Amino acid sequence: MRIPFDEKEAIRYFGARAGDQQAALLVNRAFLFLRNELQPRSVRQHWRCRVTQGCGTAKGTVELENGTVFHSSTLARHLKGCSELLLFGATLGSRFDTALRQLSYRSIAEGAAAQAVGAALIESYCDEQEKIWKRDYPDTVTYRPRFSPGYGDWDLSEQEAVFRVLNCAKAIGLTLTEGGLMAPIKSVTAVIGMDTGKDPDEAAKNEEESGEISRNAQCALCGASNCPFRREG
Amino acid sequence: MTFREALRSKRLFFDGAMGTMLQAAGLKAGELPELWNLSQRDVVIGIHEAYIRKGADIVKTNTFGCNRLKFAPEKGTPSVAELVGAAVKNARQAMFHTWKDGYVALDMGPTGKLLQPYGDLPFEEAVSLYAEQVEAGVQAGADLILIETMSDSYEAKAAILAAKEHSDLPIVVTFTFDQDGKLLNGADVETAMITASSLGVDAVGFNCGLGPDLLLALLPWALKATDLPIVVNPNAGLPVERDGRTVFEVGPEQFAECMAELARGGAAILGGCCGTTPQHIAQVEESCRNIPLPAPRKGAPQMIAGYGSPVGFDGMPVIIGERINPTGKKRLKEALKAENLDYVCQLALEQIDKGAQVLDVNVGVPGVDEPALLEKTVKMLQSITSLPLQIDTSNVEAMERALRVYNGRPLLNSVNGKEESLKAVLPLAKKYGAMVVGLCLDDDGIAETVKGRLKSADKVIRRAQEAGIPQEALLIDPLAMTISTGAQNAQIALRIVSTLKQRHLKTVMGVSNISFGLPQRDAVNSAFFATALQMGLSAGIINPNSAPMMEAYLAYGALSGYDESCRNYVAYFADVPAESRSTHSLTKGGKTATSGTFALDEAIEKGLVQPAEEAVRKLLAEKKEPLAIINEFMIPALDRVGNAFEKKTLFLPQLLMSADAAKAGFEILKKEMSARAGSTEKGEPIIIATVKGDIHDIGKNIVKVLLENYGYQVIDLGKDVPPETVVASTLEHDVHLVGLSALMTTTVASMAETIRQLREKAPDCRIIVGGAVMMEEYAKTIGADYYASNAVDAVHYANDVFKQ
Repeated sequence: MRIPFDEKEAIRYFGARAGDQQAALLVNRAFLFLRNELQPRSVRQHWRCRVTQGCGTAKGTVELENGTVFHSSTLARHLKGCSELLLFGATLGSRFDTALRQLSYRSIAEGAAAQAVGAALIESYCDEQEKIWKRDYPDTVTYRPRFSPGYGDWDLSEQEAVFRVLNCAKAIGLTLTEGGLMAPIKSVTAVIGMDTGKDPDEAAKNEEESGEISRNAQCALCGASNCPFRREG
Repeated sequence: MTFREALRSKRLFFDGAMGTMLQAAGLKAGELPELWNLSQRDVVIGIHEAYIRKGADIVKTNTFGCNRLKFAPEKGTPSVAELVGAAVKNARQAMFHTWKDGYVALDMGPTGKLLQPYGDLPFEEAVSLYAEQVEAGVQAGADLILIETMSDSYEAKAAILAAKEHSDLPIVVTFTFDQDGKLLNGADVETAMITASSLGVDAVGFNCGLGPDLLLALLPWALKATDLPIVVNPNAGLPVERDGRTVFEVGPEQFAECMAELARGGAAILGGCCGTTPQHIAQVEESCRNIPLPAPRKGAPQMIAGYGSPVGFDGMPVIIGERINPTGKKRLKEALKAENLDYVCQLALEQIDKGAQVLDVNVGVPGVDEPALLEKTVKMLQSITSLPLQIDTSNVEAMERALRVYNGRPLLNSVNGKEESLKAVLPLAKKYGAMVVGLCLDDDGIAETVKGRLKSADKVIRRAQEAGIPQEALLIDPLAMTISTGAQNAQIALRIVSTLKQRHLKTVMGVSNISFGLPQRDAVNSAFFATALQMGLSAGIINPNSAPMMEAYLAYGALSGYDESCRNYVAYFADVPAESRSTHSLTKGGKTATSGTFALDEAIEKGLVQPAEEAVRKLLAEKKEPLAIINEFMIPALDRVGNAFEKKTLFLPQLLMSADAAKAGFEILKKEMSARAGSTEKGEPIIIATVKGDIHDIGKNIVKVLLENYGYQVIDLGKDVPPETVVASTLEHDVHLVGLSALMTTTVASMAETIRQLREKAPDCRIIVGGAVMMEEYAKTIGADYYASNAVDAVHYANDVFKQ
């Protein structure tokens, strides 16, 4: 599978100013080297879910039909009005990690450029997969942007539950380290809320409250306020 | 009939899926199927029975993920031993009910964790997880061990070692490939089969991942790579999503049709994986039982492998890069003593770029802990390259440790005809499946005649065969002795090569020894190399950076006809300008962005690697002292870049490019200083590490390069480093500054613990922290001395601490 490469996004992740030719060159060189090492895989599940908003000190919850519960008020707000969701995991594979290490030994600048390329590629891969998955559901469904463990108050430790439900290790070779980090490194797990419009009032209200969250606003959901890639607005 | 007898004499059938059958019986997503061995015994036994009644000879126990990472009393589940015991009993019970003879295969799938360096599971921990399952399986009376759904050849090796070390049961290993025929770590079909076969298993093959139709394309590669019987347990097609559920849609008849084709194509044992049902197996049994068992194969070539593609010795000779060997290399000796493996990695990458297909790895420096260092080096090298390694040591303990952690099928250098060597080395080579370099020397020393050396070779060959290593797995080294001390030395070596070639034996030689003590050694070496290639040398251990050597090699390829249409030869010279060929010098030409003459500080500020190197060479030629070059040119340039970065007039890419340029300049100065006087691994030592549980290291690596450019001796402990290791290393090297990095909130706890232990054991040591989730306030809370918001900030702090 070919993943579209968003060069601009990679240059941004690299921390370069727009129009920085040298940085663009490094990013492109890294991409040319890395594209042969991609082994992208993904797993997706479609669940009916029950969203309960947080109240006082009690965190909001999102419960899947199999009884798995995710605890996060931000997630619950984000999924308000959704009766179904897609849960997925995606990874660029371990070969990418090896290549990344190799590049870092050759040149630290290329290593960092490669990291940026990886970040851009995994996002594009998720975008592409999302498009494919959405074909399986009626056109009337509207979708919320991807929301991952670690965003907002969704504790990273709940990755474990995500991994258990998706069986990520067997399905796509994606694992968790003891510290709860994903290996291979360039990977994403996330929830995509599906608003089936069964509750028109609720849906309309949602449109106002959480609405279609743009990529910029996605950053607003996250607590990493000193993140260098944070987008304002 | 035992399983091993049956394997050779009749067509055997595996059962089909367990997991998808359990799901059909009500197992929920996320529920652990192994628990059903106890809680839903009847369901499990019923599934086994259905398969046996439909013709399965081998049933897989319901133990795919049964390891102590998931199951342990302290996790509130039954123990691994209890579950494995119940699972074997269930399978046995099903056989009893059906009155059929068959075999119970202890099923072991992946651990669910990635092994280091991809993830955080240490290799020995993986071995131990599997060992526990194996012991329980043996105890419960399994007939064989099935290691299945392996998508990492390294993990497969861990499982095989565990099986061999804790049982005598037959072992079957099946791998899961993607449609391109690659495992998740990049190993191809041949590599996976070669690696497993070399470790002494009974059958190898495929399962899961793909449907039988797609496996048809992969089967020939397996048949080519191994003589062992091939097992095929495919899925019922690729998974498809239907109404929110994952289903497999290839029905029994279509499945069986493809399986029959696989059987006729040479697969010996047939069965199924995800999505297959007893009906699938019934159809397979019916359509395949009369297809004759494939004849035993003989003659798969002996090859070595890392975790990419294998390397064989029967075609175009192989280049083994000799550079990772400290003999006569001061800079490498120092790096090894200081455990600076970055330098080793650089040597590796350089040789790979220049065309090495295998890397010799020798870290034997007096005064180092060779076993520990060799193990570490092998792990390090295989974290950056999938090429095969030649493990080069005479230290038996080092040999075993390296062979053990090696990912693939190694080449072991070496055994010789001395009793001591034969007795120690051959059993290790056998156990770990290595191909072996056999030296033409024995207890009487190195003979001075062809006949004498061949006698040594024959002794090695005979003893290897007695130890179970076929002569095809040996590479005989005639031992090239320098012609400066013996006029016949080259001729002796060449005649041995040619004699052994006629006997269809493989040979290898450290080529450059031939010219020891002579001037312009490359001239002699390349002529000797060309002649040896013509005589039939299978592999040369050479310096691939030497243009004359590589040219002799490429010319031989073209002349011998191995290099079809002289493709490689032409490609090699396509980029090399004619006038610079013989001297291997840098490209001349106008001043461009990346070449031309720049002042050193300018080159660093602009981030230009080659010009920086040239400028350093020029300054050295002008008799500038290395230290003066550093202090007058490099540091001021780095300071300016650092300041601009902090003021945000210059950004991360420029900072890093400057760091690369400075680093390249430093490399040259280090070589120079090491040639002049003693150690270069000086400067204040600073430890840096990414804390335990965290496997992200780009930030840490950036800090490292910058600190090194300022002359610090950075001891890089790597990533996922336990607190104890940081403490021990701090005390051992008397370090006064430690830098810790953590990326995620979940690993900050482990950073706090590291700081706590450091404070307790090394109270004088300053601690600086950084990483994506770190903030100044947070850093204070967990007791760090300083929070560096970026790499330049870290350098400033280090300079303050050491009053630079």
